Amino acid sequence: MSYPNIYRPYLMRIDQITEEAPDVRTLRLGFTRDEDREHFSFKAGQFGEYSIFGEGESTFCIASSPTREGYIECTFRKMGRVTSALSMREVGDTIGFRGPYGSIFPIEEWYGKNLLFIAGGIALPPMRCVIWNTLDLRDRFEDITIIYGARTVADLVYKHELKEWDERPDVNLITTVDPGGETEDWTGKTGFVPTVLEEAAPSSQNTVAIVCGPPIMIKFTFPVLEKLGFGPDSIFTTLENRMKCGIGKCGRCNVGEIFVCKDGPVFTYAKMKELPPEF
Amino acid sequence: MIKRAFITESSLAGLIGQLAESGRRVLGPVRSGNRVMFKEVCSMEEVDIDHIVTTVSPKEALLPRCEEIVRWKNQGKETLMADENNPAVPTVVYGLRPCDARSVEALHAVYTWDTDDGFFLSKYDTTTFITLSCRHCDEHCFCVATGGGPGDTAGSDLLLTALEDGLYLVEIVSEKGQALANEYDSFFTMAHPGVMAGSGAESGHGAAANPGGATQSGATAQSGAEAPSGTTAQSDAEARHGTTAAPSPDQIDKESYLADVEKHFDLDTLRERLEKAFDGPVWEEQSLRCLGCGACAFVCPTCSCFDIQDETYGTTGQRLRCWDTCGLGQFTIHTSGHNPRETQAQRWRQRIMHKFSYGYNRLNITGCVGCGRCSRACPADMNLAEHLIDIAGAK
Repeated sequence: MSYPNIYRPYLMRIDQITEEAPDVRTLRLGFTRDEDREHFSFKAGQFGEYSIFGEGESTFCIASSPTREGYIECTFRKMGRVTSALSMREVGDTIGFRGPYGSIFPIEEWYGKNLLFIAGGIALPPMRCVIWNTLDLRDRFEDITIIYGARTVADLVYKHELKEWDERPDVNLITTVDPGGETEDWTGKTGFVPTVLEEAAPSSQNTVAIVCGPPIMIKFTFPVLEKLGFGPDSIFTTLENRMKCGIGKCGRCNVGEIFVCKDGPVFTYAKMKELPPEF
Repeated sequence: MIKRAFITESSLAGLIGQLAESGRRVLGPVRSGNRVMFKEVCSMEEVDIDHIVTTVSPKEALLPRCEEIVRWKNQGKETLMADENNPAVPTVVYGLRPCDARSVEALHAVYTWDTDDGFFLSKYDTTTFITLSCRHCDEHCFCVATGGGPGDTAGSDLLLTALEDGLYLVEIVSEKGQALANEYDSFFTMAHPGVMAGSGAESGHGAAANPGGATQSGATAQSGAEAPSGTTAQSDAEARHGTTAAPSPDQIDKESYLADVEKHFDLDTLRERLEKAFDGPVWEEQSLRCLGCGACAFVCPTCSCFDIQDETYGTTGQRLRCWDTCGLGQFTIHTSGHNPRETQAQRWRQRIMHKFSYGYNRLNITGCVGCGRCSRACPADMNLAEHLIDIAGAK
């Protein structure tokens, strides 16, 4: 009996490259084969394995919204072997993509609610997918608030989109940079994300919070949310454990009885509390 | 009920030779100095039987140390991927132990839950395991505590138990085992040839029988032409000595030929204790000696975690999956430097919890078969059974 090769990536063509911040880029990827594009679908929160042939695979969430069909985008910081190679690639080059993998943000369950997005640094990309997904269905949700912080002004990603969200009357955007990271013309806030969240004190009534950031930010943000009255079932996050296979075989993202790649990456804080603290 | 037959030592050697000649890959334990490793063999002469377990487990038959999962060629800006995977070579693994065979079930669970892994399954489908039960054990063996035993049939296709005078009891455990027994039926016999042991009949005696059937008296010979000596010899022998005095395969008391492996701890108690042990001091204490070398996982029959790495050769390249282990510090480290399991104590806890708690709760498997290889291989002399007794309390 022959089996399909579950590790075989799609061949994707780089159609567009956007410089987001120092060493941070967004690649827009198109399918090289029409049949792949036609069969492909994903939902907000899912991730993939992006590869440079000869360098390896790297795991990122799909940063574009499923409401924008025909392409996917990923945003990454040049850090290791694969991301360094990815940042050398040009428009027209071919890269590999496996996916979509993992669990989703239950957007349909959020209809009629207020949404509070909280993101830090390079963790805005996984949330950008959800933000655009919900903005493209704007009338199904009540208030939408986005709190986004980065180390410095230069490190803020998606600057054009931040401007667009800032100008929209139906979005409440709060941006902040760490103390010392501000510039002279910076009009946003200065302070760490958990502090800014506490000051902004958004209502927890009929609201779900979606949090994504480095482990240290997550650690200090959850208690603030609980203080504001958010129940652990109303707080969502996406975990970023190291992965290789993405399909529950390689064992790398195993935490307790779950595999982040299969049971996540999207988890509620309630679920996280049941798991060993190995994130 | 598992069907039984006999095979003589010389017929077994004949069978292994024929299997190798048939184009199958035959893997058997081969000694090299103080190590015994599964290697491709052509004849029984290469096979070592004087060991408790092999140094490294036979999982390589299904899960090579490094295996190509994608192959490509770069042409300018285009990348071309190879379409087909190499089909698996039909394989016979001879001489693994019941613990090893049992580990195949654990590997199968991991590689088929949720998504079927074709690289594993294509080998699994075409591999037949001819297991040798254990007449001896050593201080590292604890198969019984993990639910197995020296004559356990789980995971085997054929299980052989050495009786006396070069005779083996054959248990036909699976359909794959039955198919192999049918194809090579002339090597098996339903009649106990012990009565002829002293008369030189041992050499090349391959009287035919239907190993799956109730008939005996050496009559079936579906492929009798393959037999070194024909059914006539068997009939003659029976005529001379009669068969009524010799036991049939079903009359053999297999247990009396097996090693007496102690039950070191109670598995259910261990699981119960592990449920509450996550924050306990035991992990730090037990892992103080651990060097984090990963040898335990390398020799382990059930460790199934892997890494994926690319290698290039000019304009071509391959993506490989290679054995990896949660015991190594790099296993979970993020590119940022953040590591969810940054101490060896945390990694030791993961190893034990994954094998005895998480894997059982999730996939209903115990990721340990008690072969004791990890304890034999550990350069710091950590003994898994002792640590498990420590947690579970001695039985």
